Amino acid sequence: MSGQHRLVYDEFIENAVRRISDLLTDSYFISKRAVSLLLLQEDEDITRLVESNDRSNFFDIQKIVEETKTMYDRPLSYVIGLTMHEDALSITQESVRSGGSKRRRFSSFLSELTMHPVSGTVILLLVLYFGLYKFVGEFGAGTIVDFLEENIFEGYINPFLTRFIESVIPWRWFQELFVHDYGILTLGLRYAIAIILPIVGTFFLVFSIVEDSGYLPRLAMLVDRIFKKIGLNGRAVIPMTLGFGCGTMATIVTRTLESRREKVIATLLLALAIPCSAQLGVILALLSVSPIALTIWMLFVALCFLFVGFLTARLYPGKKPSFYMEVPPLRVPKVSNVLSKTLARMKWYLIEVIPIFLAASTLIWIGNLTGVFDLLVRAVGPVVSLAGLPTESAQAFIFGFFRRDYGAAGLYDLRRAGIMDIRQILVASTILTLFVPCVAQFVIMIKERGMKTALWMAGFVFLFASAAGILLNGIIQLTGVL
Amino acid sequence: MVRCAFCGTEFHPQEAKLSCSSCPLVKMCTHHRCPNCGYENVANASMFNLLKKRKEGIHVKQK
Repeated sequence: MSGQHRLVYDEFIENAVRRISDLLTDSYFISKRAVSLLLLQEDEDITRLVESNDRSNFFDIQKIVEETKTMYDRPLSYVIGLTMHEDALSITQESVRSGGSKRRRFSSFLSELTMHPVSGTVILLLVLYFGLYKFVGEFGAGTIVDFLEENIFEGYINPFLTRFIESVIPWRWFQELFVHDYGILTLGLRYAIAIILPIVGTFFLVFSIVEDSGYLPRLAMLVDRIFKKIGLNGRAVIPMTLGFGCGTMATIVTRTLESRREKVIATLLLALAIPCSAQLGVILALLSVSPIALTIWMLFVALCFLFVGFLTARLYPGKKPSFYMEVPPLRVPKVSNVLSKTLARMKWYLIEVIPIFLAASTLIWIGNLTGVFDLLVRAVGPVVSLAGLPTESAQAFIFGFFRRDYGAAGLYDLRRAGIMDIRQILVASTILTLFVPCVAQFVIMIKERGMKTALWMAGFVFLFASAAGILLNGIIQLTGVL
Repeated sequence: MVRCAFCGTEFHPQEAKLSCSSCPLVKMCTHHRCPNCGYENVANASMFNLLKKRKEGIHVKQK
């Protein structure tokens, strides 16, 4: 290599860089050209530094940045980033001789396919069908849950615990805290170990494979175009994907989005239309008996996601978001990585879920003793009846406010008891998916977006979920699809 | 070093801890947030690390 490579931008940017460099009088730890480029990209740290070190010229510098911004229909950070990327690519092509192995060529070809609008959508559907429907829905939530529920818990653990508690505690009302219908051992522990754990275990396994293969950044590229229509961009794939694990964590991660507008839209959509892993698994198990019901659920929830996103983006106007990222290579997932990540996630989940399930069972026991639980069930009853659901399903929605998966497990029990038919299961699953977020997610929504915005969102989600459930029930009855 | 599963950036776990130092769960948290894209990477399970170290230890002894 001889000489020094100099990256040249187009005339507007080069002109702006020259003018800003002339106005910079103080010395900085990097070149004036680099400072000017960072100022054009509106880097917060550099802007603050120049504002304090070059106070007298800062107004003129800001004017040049604003003038240059009007020359492009995309943010300057995107234009400059793209030029840098193209330049880096040309240097690589000139200076690196690729071995061009068949494996690398296939990997690049596959990578292109995953990001193409048509082939990418087909690949996404295949991942969803085999990963979620077949493995999590049929195997995890079907085969493993049935074995643990029927053979282990109902066959041995619950009868043993019930006999033991009845022999130790003579008062029926106090026995009910631990065993019988809402006991912390027979209900809370059974929900956590026999229903939720196998579902999240299989989900985390699939998620770790997808994550380790490098598919997630490609998914971000694929959905970028659709997300832009709802005021977001490909970057929002990070909180949305994490939301399929846990909505509470995902709401915290919305901090990484650029503008307040994007943060508000992503928080609302997470609260409304993104089911957490356990809830998703139980719903897949409930609906896997009827592929039509499952398809309707998926399409209806996706439609609600897009409709509310589109509407919020129109009602909350703001800067058009931009998104570009370097895509790391596709790779074959390493078994040790996948197993290690799955185990770590399951451990974290168990530490988090068991105390909450036990606390929820205790609260329900207190609610039963005092009659408050009955009052709540009666209050939710009319909405539930309007959606064509039995009054027993009101319990599941109240459970769902403690934790979404707790509510879904409640629906699972109702289906097993034969109380609901497939139409009612579909409507109930849809309402529960769209229904208000769990307590933990709601607390984080208040912390991240403020009390007023969080309350507005919870109110909207409650009304929207109820209206959507009633509408879906009406459509199904009118068309007679199920 | 940790390699972000989303954007491929390599970073030190300590660097990740700095970005969430205000979180009350930071001491017991098993996630490493990528400083580049914000993705929460899961740290390897401790039981798995123990087995891995044991296996590596056996290899070193054999050499």
